Amino acid sequence: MKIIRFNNVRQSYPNGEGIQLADFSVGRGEFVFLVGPSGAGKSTILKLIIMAERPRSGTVEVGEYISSSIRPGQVPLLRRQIGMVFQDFRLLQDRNVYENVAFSLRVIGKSGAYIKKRVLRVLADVGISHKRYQMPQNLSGGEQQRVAIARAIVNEPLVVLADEPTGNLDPETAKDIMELLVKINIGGTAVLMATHNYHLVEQTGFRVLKIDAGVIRE
Amino acid sequence: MRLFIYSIVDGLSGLKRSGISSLLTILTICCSLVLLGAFYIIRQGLRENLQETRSRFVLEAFLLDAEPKDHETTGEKILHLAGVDSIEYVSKDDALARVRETFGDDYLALIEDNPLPASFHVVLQPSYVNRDSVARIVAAIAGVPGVEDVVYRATLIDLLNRYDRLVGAGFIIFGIALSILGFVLISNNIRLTIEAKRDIIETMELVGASRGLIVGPLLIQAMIEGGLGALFAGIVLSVLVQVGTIFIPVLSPVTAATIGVLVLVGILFGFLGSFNALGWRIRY
Repeated sequence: MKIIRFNNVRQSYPNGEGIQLADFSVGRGEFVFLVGPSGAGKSTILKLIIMAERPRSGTVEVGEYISSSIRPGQVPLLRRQIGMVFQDFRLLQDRNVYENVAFSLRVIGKSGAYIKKRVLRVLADVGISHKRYQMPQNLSGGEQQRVAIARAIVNEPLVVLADEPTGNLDPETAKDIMELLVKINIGGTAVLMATHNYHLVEQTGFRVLKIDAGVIRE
Repeated sequence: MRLFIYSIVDGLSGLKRSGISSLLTILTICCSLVLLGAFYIIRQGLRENLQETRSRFVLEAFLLDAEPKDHETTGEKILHLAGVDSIEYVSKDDALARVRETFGDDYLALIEDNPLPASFHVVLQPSYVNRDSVARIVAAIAGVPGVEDVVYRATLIDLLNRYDRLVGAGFIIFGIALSILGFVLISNNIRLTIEAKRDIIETMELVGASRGLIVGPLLIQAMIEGGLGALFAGIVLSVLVQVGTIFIPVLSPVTAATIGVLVLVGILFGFLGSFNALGWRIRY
């Protein structure tokens, strides 16, 4: 079963960059790498998936939502089915680790008791529960990325989108984060990871989608 | 309901999280409202002063010589005229006593009979103390049987009216200017606070937070800041007025109602300021 489907998608920007053609899908529980050099359009693909942008032509389907028919009020609902992990972590700097992760559950209206139990469980899963009262600025890069991953998976999304999640980390920490993402995938969550680190891709046997001259095909 | 409770709890937490930024917003609101409040208090003081002066304005209705009973009837007729607040009867003897008190006995020693007429001092309702109304009332009193003549200080009325117009127009212009200035200051401060949270708001949008979930706590936080700033402004004004009354006796005291109005204005400014700043920021 496919959870993400790009149907002949084209996207362009005034500066000439963009996607010439994207026609691919991601199935439930898959781990897929999206590779290409910087500026190739990896982030554009991710923005199209979370419907921060609409394609110039073609359609993007994510779960039950289609880019051509989704209403603005449905965009937050779509995003609740997607976990996002960024290169620059994008944690809420004014809240501690626990509150950062809990926010994803508050968004979907879960009760306080459920939030507490679930957040502590997920923080333990990503190995950061001992730092739950720390503020993000007091954590190392690897720790911040673990918190971001915890936030991404806490509401059990259909898919985790990771945009260069190891880009700001040293090789050892990057390996740990990669292992964590694989562990999440083994648990049944699909992962779509954008990266320009071919070395990292070669170490695994996962499916690779390559952006070549703005074209992505199966 | 859950969103409302979350907004309040998170809005309160936001105050603590924002720390210095919140404190500066509260300070800005406080300063703006002290300015607005001081303006309002001075305006109130001047208006009350003007009203008091109007309430002291007196017409003198001199009476023809008659029996006291007839004067009483004349007085009742004057009292029932529109715009008349109260009357005071001054008999011939009272008038003489007042002249003696002012000028001394020697002045009247050569006169055998008391030449002074009895009169009524007519106090008008303050809203009738203007040129047209006074002219109308004077004509009506002059027409009452038993009244010989009516005198008053016409120049005082003109002075009061000119003062009233000047104060009214001046305060409308300054009031509007100060209100706009206060709102712009507060709104701008809140906009800067929210601008500083741009990354946080974007991240919240990316994890699927709805507009209400993002905007609610920020609105509540701004309203609390507005209310607190206004409350402090009320306290500052109370102290300022207590000190100021020593030098400017016309200042009205700061009542609980005045502070209540200030707090409401602060909350409203906080709400409008944050609403204005957030409106274009949240996309979904």
